[in-house]
Amino acid sequence: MDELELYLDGTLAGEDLARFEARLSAEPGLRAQVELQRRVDASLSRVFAPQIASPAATTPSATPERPWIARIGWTRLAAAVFLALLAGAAFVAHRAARPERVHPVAAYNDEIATGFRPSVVCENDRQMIEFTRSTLGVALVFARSPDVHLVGWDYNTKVLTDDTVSLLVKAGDDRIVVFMDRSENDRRIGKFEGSSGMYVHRRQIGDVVLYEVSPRREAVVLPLVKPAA
Amino acid sequence: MVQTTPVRAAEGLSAEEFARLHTQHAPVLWCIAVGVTGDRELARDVVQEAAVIGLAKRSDFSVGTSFPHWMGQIVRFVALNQARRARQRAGISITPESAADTSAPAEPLGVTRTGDVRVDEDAFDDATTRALRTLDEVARSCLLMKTVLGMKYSTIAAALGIPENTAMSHVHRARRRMREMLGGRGGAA
Repeated sequence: MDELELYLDGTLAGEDLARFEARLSAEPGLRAQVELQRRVDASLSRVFAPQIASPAATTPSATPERPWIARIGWTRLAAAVFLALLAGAAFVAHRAARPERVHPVAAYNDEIATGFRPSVVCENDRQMIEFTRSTLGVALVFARSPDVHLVGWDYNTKVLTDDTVSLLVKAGDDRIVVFMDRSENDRRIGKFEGSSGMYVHRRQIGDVVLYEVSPRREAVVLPLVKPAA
Repeated sequence: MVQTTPVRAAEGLSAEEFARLHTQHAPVLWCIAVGVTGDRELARDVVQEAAVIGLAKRSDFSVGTSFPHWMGQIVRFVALNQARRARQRAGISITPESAADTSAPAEPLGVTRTGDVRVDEDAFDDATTRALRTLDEVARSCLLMKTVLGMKYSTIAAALGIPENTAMSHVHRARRRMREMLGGRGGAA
């Protein structure tokens, strides 16, 4: 297997990595290959990065318009057809059953009861940026903290809207859930019966509102969140 | 990104679920479209057109199977049609190989008035785009998914319906080819 390619994949480790890095120090030609590949990768990312929409939606629809769908260069006809189908489906669904909004503590309890399992796992900052930008319209990153482990994301929690997403986090022995949605969908969160021992912390970052639910008196995850540069 | 929970099977794929899945996997579909067309403007049109088709045909999707793989096939079909129409409009036969100037190295670096070397990234980007077009369709898609989206080889393989080792080989060979064309001598280290 080509060691240079494995190094570029980021899969070299331990002694193999140390040996290759020693070669990089000693072989200018090898270093040049690595530098060239970095430049090629940066160029590909510039030229072929998927374009992501701003959250502004000018086409009325019965459901919140998703940034990806608004941005990827729709013709008016195609967009009208797509949104009409979505609007029709959403209208029927909403007339048939108007879901009650779920209190964050209740939604937290649901996540615990269903095994605290994510639907989506972001494996690096780039995927985190892509995910938050596409679901919330704002790209977010999370600072590292030794005690805090981001488990993954879940959908359809209905805390603020049907599009509220939840970030599942483990901090030591505690499980934390951070619910996120666009700030325009924010609402007053009252006290939840049976919530003794649980805390709800709120923060707004740009156009995104976040609610952290955990047994900890102080927010653990909210201070780690920031907009991507 | 790894989706660990399959779509609910009982009710089939609703328009809302299709929209959610399409939103989630749009970057992958974009890479497949660029893989076939080699052109980001055309790829944008392809993804749009394929989405409308996919929405209409969502009853054909088997819930529990890979959405990016199923939708990717539609994208690929539309992309091939679009690429064929583009060639017909141009009136000449354009293949990925002929579209790339394989004899010209990357643009030389310029020098500013103060004597500093100017890195002309626009010219390098053009050269990168030409070099990318010399790759075959699957290799292009694999390289973009790995480089631009940071996907794991297993996820790339699932999206394209190819073995994981094949996806890895495509990326490794594509990188070497790109480096050969863009100013270095690629090859095994």
